Amino acid sequence: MGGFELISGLAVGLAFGYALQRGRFCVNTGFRDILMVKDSTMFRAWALAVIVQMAGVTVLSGLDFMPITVPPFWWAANIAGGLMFGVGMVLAGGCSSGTCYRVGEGMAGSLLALVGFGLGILLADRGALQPLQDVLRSDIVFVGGEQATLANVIGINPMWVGLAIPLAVGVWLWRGGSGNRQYASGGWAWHMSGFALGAIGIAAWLSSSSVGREFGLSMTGPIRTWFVLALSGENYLDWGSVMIAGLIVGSFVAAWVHQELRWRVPRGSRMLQAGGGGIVMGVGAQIAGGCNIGHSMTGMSALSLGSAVTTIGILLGAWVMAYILFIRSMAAQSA
Amino acid sequence: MNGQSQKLVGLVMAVAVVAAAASGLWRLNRPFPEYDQWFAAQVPQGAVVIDARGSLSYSRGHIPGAPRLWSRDFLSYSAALPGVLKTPDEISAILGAIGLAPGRAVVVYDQGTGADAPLVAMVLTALGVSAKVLAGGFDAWVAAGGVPSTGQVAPALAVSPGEWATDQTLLVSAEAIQGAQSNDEILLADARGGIDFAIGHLEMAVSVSATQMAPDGGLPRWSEAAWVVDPVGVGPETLVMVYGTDLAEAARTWLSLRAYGIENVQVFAGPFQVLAAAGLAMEDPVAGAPVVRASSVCFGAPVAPQ
Repeated sequence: MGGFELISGLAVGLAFGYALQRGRFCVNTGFRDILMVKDSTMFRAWALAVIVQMAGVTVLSGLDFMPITVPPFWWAANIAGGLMFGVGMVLAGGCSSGTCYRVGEGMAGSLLALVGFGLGILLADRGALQPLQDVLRSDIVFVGGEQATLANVIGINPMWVGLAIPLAVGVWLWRGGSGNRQYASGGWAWHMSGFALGAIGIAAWLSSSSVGREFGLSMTGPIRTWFVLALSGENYLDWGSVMIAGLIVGSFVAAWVHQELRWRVPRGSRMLQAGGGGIVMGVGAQIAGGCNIGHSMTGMSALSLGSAVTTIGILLGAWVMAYILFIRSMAAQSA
Repeated sequence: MNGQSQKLVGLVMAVAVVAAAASGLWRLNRPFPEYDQWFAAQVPQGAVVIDARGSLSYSRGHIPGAPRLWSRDFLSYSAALPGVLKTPDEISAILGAIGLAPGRAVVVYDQGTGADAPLVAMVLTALGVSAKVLAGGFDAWVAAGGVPSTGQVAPALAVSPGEWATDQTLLVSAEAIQGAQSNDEILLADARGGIDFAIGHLEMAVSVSATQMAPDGGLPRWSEAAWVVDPVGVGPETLVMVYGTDLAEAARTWLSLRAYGIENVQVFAGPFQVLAAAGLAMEDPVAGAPVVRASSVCFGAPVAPQ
């Protein structure tokens, strides 16, 4: 690994972790809260992060300043993996990036979820569930002989789509108000964390692409490389791996600087749930080829149809699990 | 920490991200260090321009005044040794027939894919001619407003063969390639990439694929070349010997390496099959031979780095 790859991956990772912690950014919270408490504050932060990154990636790639890679559309894997990931992240209590930043804050449950996430990835990548992954990934959909993107499906220049979507969603965000959910005091407002994460996503594309990794922020592949290193000694460490390490350190720095660092250990059943949820998350992410960051932020910024389908799967899986875990029991208690 | 310190940490993070983005943007769009020595952005006034394409492409339209010198005209296609470079005398005769005299600077172009021009440029360089490749080829020249001609170009003058200074060091034999396999001072570069390299290559060779360095065929990005070249540890002083599926492919890697700033690049004067048939040691493709590192995005399995 070259010096630039190491330093730039670390820089982006540190900032990513810092912004996640300050914004309490978690797609699990964002998707779940829409259903549970009818609040879209965190969802707005996620949407803003996506459209900022989408606009930036569209302009940079459209002007040929930067090559991009579009995640493939494995329709079955994207649907099944997305659903599994959504279920798993509610069980685990956080999405993959949320889990990682909470590890930096000192949450033991998230640490167990992260371990489960890595093991789940390996289970599907090279373990007992690899045949399932292979079957689900066996059919790739192309559009007109090219990668399946929203622009290719519509049949127009990606620049139009990549700028029209941010404009439309931006108007919706502007007119939609500020949300009413109060997260931990001292954190960033949703628009600040959304914008910061979107900008960090663009920086990730640029610095990662410049060392040959023509993609942006992602969690699944980089976490897989660390677990492969830990369990088999095979060294595939690259920009993404360094970025992940930087994320956890960046979150730690943010928590420490703002006196929010605390080692917290939940009760045993919660720990088991977190670990089990992590495994389900990992299996889903590996099968789908990405998670709430790789698909729902980075892949969406490249207009990937596979990423859009995976994101819908994540949302639906999260809602199903949130209903089973929380809403149904709340309804039973109030009855 | 107090509020000022907290803001300072946040500022440092923001600066780090902006620096990473800016340097990434610069790296992605920085040209090769020696790019201008090997590529011409446009046809200079008074330059000798040579069309390296086949007859059909040439007849459909070419740069006015450019004689045709198809890259494959430099190669012999005997049953025993297909695609081997002709002798210097034969090549001199070919160049004389189109009126190319020693000492003239030349700009060579092909369609824009790098299929032909690098080979012609390489052979001319071996004969002591200063040759550049037109960036983007004929397609870019037309897109920039060039008006093609369809008429044949008569030689301006005839020159006799044997007047050329031949660089004996640029083109090497199979014996030299074999010697490179046991010489740690020489990097043996296979111009093929991907599946071709993976299924069989010479022992001790690493993949330095011009296609990976310049996927759009002749307009390399620094970042893509660095990704290919840096892991194999090539520096400006490294002696590199290149072979490819054919001489045209090897010439593309030669050109990219020269533009990247590698001075000492030699090329095997024939196709890979000649080396394989000559009994040179082959790497076992199953045993995990050195391959160039690929990106490790989450939806694909990573390739083991060197």
